[in-house]
Amino acid sequence: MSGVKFELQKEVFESTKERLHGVVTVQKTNRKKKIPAYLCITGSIERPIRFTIYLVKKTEKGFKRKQEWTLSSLKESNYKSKESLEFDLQLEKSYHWLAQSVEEKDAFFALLHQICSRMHRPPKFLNFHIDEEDEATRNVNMAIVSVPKDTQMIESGDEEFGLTEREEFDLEKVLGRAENAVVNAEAFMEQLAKELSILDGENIHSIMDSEAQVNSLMDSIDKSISQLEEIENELVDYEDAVTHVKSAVEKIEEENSQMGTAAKNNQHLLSELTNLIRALDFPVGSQILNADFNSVEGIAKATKDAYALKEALNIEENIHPALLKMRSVADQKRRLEKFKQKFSQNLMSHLAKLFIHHGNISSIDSSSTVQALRLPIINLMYNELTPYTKLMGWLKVMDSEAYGSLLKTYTLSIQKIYEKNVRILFEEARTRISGSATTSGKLSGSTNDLRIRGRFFGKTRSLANREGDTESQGSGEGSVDSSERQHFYDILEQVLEGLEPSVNTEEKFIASFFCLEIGSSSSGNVSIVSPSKGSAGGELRRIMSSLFSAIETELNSFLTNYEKMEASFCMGAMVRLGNHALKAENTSTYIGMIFGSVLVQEKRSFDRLMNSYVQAINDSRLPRKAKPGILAFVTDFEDFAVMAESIFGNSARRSDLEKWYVKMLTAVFDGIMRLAGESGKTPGEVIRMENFHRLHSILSRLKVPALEQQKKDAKIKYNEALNGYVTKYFGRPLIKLNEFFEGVQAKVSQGVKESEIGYQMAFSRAELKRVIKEYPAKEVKKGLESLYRKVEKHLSEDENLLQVVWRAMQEEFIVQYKSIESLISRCYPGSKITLEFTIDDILLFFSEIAQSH
Amino acid sequence: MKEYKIVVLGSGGVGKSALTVQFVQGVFVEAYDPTIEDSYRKQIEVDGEQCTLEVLDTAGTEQFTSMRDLYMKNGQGFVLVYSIAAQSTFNDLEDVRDQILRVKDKDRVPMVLVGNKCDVDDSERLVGKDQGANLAQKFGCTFLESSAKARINVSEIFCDLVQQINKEVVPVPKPKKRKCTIL
Repeated sequence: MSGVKFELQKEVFESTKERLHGVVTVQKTNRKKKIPAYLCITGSIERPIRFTIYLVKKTEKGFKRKQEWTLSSLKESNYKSKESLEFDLQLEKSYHWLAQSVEEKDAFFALLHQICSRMHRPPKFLNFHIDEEDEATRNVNMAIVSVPKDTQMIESGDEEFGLTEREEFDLEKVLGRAENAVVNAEAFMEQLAKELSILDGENIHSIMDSEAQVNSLMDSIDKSISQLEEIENELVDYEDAVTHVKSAVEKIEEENSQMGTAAKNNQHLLSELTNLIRALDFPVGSQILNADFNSVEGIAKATKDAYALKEALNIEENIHPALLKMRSVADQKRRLEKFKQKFSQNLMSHLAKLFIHHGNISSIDSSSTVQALRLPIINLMYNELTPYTKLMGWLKVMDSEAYGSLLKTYTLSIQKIYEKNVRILFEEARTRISGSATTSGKLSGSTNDLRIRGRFFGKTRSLANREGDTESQGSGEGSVDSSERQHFYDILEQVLEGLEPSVNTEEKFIASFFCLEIGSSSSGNVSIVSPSKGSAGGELRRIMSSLFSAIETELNSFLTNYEKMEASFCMGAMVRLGNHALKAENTSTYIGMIFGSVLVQEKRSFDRLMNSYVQAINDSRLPRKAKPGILAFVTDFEDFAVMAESIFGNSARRSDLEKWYVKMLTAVFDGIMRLAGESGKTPGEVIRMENFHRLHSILSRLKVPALEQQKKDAKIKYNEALNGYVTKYFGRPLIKLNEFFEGVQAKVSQGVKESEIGYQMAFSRAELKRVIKEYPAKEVKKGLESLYRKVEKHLSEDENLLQVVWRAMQEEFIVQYKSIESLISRCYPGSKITLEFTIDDILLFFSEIAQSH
Repeated sequence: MKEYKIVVLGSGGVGKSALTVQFVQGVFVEAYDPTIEDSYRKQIEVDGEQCTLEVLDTAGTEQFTSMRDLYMKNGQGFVLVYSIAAQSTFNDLEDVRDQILRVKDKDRVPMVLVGNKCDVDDSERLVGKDQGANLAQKFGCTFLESSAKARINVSEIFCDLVQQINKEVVPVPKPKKRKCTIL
């Protein structure tokens, strides 16, 4: 049997780490086939030990586990009887097995019983009894079976064995002591009983002894209980008291927090009220209505009060809107509103009075300053009004209606002053222009204007409508003319200078006093600010133009008036106005704009005038005189240019002038060419020669860099005309000789050798001598004399070019002479034929003729 | 021959005169002399038709702003010039355009927006081409970048303006009169 057990252990349970405790060879009761199977009880090697029942069958391949059950699933085991091999095990169902032998069956049941007896709920064992002896041996055998009697040995977690370690130890000790007495069990029992009774006796004794102590202990326990009760009572009292206090404290706390809230609220309320009162407070009250506007201190105080009032009236910004609904707030507001209205009315009437007053007094005393051609600055008024500036700002914000009406009053009353002063200024300017003529001592004051008109008119006409009969312009008269012109320009300059500061001061004053800040145009002249843009700037401009509307009209009529007398005045006016209008500091001032507008008018007048000049040049006709000489428009151009240069100098407007210079010169060039072509008696060459000569000298004198090209052109045109004239009119005084040699040249070009010319019939030496004979020195001189007379008749005295022409003709004659001479020497070598006069003779003739005239 | 009154407007120093003189005389004026007012005449052919342009070159500086109303009243077409090298000159034009519409009391007036000096280096450019194009779109007008110096897009400005004016003046064809037939 042990062999099977060993095999089973090794083959089946080794691998699952179980130890086989017992085995019984069984076969099923109801089967006919007797296949031996082994019913094994195993315990796991690892703790906690689990006991399992296996049914193992033996096949050819070895052992095979057929079925397994945990030990705890064993509910009942039936041993049946000692004689029978049968037994039943009630597992999940009832199994009936037949053991091989009774011994095996006994041993198996004993083992099963032993293991199960330690379980909490051991299965029932039917028909199985085990005697004490057996039990004892079994207990000893336990070690052999090596089931450790350990308290921790647990089957299915809740099964425990009875003996504790200590009990086991005691038992072993007792048994150990009794080992030698096992034989004499009776004696041992007796001894044990004796010991027991002794121990009992002692026990009772000690119990008896300790009674008193127990009693006293009881007493003290009773005492302490009663004390405890007392303490408890006290504690209860205390607790009551504390509970009471607690509720009181809670109450107090609540009250406290409520009080805090109330205090906070009060503070809020207080601060809100303080704010409100401060905002609404206007301590001055109705005192403001008695403000003294006549002293600086009074004004300062009024200003301060007014701003306080403004502050008070602007409460909407400072306090909660809901507060505005408070009756007292509304009342106070109404009250303040009333103050404001009354105050602004007072202020308005006071200022209006001031304006009107200043309007009146300034217009009275200002005429004296006008005499210096200076529009007076109403400093007195500015000084008096400046302290009110802040009040004005207040008024603008608080009462725009009053502000508007004040603005109107101001404009109306000050407008009068300026209108009058401007008129006086221009009157004075006119008087001064006339007055200068008086000092020149030529004319009486009354006809001054007429005199100027007459003289300038003459000049104007001479420039604009030249009909050819140029009145000669003596240098003396011209200088008076230019000094008068200068005087006019000086006066104009003074007027312009005189206007500027006053208008600018007024503009600045209005801007600050009426709080109309000008949109700063720091960008200067590269930026245009539309006047319609920016309401303040537009408003300022509007006021300025209603104050100073007189300036533009007066200035325009002043200029037109004088330009009617002398159209060229517009040139100087343009320069002067240009200087003022285009000044950097005038870019955004009102006066700059006035000057700008007038300047455009002047520029137009200037363009018109220049255009009329050009037109006049284009329309000009030849004079009916025999000798046209220098054309009128050429000399006039010089006069014009000299005057224009003196006016424009290096002014900024020079470019405008130069544009017209070019146009005018183009017209002059065209005019000269046109009239030269139209001329009757006088050759066109002479007209061109003389006029371009003059024009060149004019341009050389003017030294205008822009006209360099025109100067060069004039020079070229002059030279062309001179050459043309000389070739045309000097002609060929030795005509036959010329023709003779032209024939010679023709032959030469046909291929005849120069040395063989003399053998030709027509050009024989005899023939040459005959032709030469026709030009004796006397004849030549006579011819030259008649030529000189002709040239003299052609040329005018204006340009005095006779000598130049005469010299050019002399050059031409010499050139011709030399060419003839060289041809003779080449074609008739060694013939010793010469002309009947020499180069020296020619030079002599020319100088004689020139001197004799 | 048809006459066109054209006014050149814009801030000071943007090159109004340079453009005008380049157009009329074919030369580039290097020197800067602030213009007061200059009037030029020039004949050109636009769409096969000869026309005379009267070009009014105006002052750009602020002193002359009061004259602008008059220019706008008399002009038929307007050249609005700014310099691509100066942002402020560009910004000023919106007001000018508004003023033109106000004076003319119309929604549309023949107009060309011109960004002059387009020959300058990119480093000097301060107004982008797209900015100009956007403004022109807002104005509902033609946009050109030009250079009087390099003669870029100069005559184009004026031709376009003439075309715009031509389009504008095209009269609405009168409805045909109904003829009565007497039976």
